[in-house]
Amino acid sequence: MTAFPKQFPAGLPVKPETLLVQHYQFHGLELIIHSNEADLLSILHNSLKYFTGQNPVSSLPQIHLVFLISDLGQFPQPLATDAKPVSFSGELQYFIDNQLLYTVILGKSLVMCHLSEGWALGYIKPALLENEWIIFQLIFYPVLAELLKQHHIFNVHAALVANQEGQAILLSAPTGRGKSTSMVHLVRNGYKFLSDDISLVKKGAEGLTLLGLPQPVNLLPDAIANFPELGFLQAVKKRCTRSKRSFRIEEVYPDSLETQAVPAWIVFPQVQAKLDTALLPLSKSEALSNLIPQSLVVANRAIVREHLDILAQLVQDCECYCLRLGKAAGEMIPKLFGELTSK
Amino acid sequence: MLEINAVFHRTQETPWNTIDNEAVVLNLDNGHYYVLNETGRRVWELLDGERTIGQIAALICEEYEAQEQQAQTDIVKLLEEMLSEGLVASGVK
Repeated sequence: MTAFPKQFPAGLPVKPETLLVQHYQFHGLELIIHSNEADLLSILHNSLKYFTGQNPVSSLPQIHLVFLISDLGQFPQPLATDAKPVSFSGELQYFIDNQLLYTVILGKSLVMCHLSEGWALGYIKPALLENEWIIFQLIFYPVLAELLKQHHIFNVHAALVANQEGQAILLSAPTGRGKSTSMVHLVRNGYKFLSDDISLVKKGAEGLTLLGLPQPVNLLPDAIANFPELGFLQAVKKRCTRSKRSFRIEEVYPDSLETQAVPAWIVFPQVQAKLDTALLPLSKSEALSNLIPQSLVVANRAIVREHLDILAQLVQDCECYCLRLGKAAGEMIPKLFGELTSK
Repeated sequence: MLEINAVFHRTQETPWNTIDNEAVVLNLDNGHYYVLNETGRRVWELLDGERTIGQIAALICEEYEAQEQQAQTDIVKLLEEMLSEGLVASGVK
């Protein structure tokens, strides 16, 4: 059994020893996820599979995340009814009380995390289990991201690939701008895959390192049509024919996974179908301006400055471009990036 | 209209960074960010809670060969925007 952290709040509606536990070795940290629901662990495992660890590694700093499928009424330290959020970010509201950060998700789930102790406790309404995207992207990852910041690991909302020399290309854009499609064009042409949507950056003695989170890749049917080898996904039935289809990149492109790379290029894809596909140089201040709204969430004000500094250094360390996705993108992307990375 | 002898300072908790001679300033209250061009960045750096608007304008004129009256007008306009966003506060730091 894995012991809970000493400061974990009392008053849990279940006995800790009855919870299911999953361990992950995640970029130099031990993630220990506890839950009363096997389906929840299974959803999280789908994105964390690559980091599976058998046993706790005592030398690694630990992060405990406890997620209970339960009613919010049983939460041991409820938010004051008159509490005011410190910030909003889309579907999330953040409240902070000293070292305790509360995240309210869609008004239906609540996660409390102790920033310096390195643990989180979340209560998730049972109905949300039906939506894997909400569980990982809205409930699990935002809280993990805040705890990772305490270890000087910061979020970059971008797909991430690397060339054979370990030099990274970050592809950053809001959803629907061609980030994943560009990434798949590169991976099928020999680039290594690190992330489809969530990348991380860490500052070490030798500079910045980009870290991957190789989740399943999601593509719209229109994008899948660009890749004959992904034709099997068109047969996957969805309630909506426009829904994204999901696949694991290593199952289609063997030996493509990598975990970390050195920052070299940041590229912002933008669809402009009527023009030629081209890589256009971008000033560093424009690149930073594009990166901030994608990557920087103001939840814990105490650490925003460090996040901004890291993003600025990342931009300084990289050549920055806009990728205009237009005519013959499938042929042009490997050619343009081949020329770029061989300079 | 702000007085030319008024003193302002950057609010302590406002994160900012310089890149390519420009500055990116974050507003923690609303999550918005602002990109200041080179002269805007220099004004931002000079908002140390000691210099008056007039002194900052004089320095900008020296460094960028600008007209003092125009510099004062531009700085006042910039400061009014920054004040409304809570990025700067009046008075000695």
